[in-house]
Amino acid sequence: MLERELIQSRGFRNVVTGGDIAGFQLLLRMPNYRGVWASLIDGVAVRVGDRQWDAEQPLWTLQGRTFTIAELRASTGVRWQLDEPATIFVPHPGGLAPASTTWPWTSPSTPRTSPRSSSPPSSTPSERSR
Amino acid sequence: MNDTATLRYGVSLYSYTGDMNTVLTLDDAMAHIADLGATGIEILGEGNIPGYPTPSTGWIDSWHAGLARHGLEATNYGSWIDSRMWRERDLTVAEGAAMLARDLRLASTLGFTSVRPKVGVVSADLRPHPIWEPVIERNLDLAAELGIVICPEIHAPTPIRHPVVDDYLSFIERTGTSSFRILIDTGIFQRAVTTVKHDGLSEEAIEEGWRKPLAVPMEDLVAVLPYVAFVQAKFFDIDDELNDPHIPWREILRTLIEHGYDGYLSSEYEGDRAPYRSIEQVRRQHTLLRRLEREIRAKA
Repeated sequence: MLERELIQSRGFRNVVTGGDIAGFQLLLRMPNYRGVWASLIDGVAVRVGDRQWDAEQPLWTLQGRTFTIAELRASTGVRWQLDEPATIFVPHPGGLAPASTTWPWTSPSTPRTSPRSSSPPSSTPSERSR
Repeated sequence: MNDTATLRYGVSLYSYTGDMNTVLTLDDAMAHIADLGATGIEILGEGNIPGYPTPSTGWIDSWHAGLARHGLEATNYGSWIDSRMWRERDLTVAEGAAMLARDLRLASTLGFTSVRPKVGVVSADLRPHPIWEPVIERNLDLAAELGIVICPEIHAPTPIRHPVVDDYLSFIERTGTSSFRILIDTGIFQRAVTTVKHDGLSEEAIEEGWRKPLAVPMEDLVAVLPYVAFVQAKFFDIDDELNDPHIPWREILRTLIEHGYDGYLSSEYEGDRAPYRSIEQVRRQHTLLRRLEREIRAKA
């Protein structure tokens, strides 16, 4: 089962590539009632505190394949399903610092992630990613 | 009064939107539907089939096992033909026809007897993209072979007396097909404004789709009833005294019963999406509909 909030707490962590933290990821539940073909996705803008990433920046992982927004728009046969959250990777060298925070985040009406808190949740992202 | 025709009751999994995959599994949903004494389950193909459009054989087996375990039959399968799938061009007829064929085959594999295709619309009054006609015509033989009726839905803000419906009826007349009919969404009979809010929809969409009661008269339903294959029993809110302030159920049921409709009424709860609310609301609707049916038949 997925969490009711669109932004899932499970899966939220810094991502290590080649020994360095390349950014962080979060899992998003599909917000509509029928899922969507990936070519129809507009993207997701992310804000954490005063840091922002526009909708073109995050990478999407759907059904085990990772895409840029441009690649999603040209894709065929790829879907964001109701029962399969999308993994959103936000490039951010060094990652987010571990901190305590108010939980849960408020899930917005569209897949635009805008956590209220200025910090990630009270786990240790750099440890969880390993 | 036609006393021989029986109404059949079902539920669309659309009713449980937001609850599916968060608080309800498919098996839970089937159990809730069966507990109502309902016999039909309606799904949204791409929304409710894991791995759509190519579910695993294991899932297909579990679907049939679930139907058998809960005593349910597969009724209507909602499909989409996304005519705006690509930013730079519209979908071609060949692409649309292939999509519909894929859904017809999958629906048949899962035991459904009707498929509601939704083609992208090109106007605020929901005129479908013009590919609808050749896309459906190319699939009539396949539908007949599979024993499936293709039935686009008449949905607010499109009333029954409208060129969209006229075009569908002309299509039936021109092709002489028995594999194409229409589906009525009871939202077109809405008499009062609803304040329901749905995340992610524009104010304009909410205004056009829900707040403006279309109040289609029953005589219009009577006129097209011979062509109606399925009814989606759309509603928004039923209070704990079983009053529905929006949809005139007594008139709708009386009309269906008097004119011998013997198809399904398939719940489509479209109210607030608070967790678990859909389950209670669908139960209230079924209690209300069955009470009204008893009262109407008793007076006959």
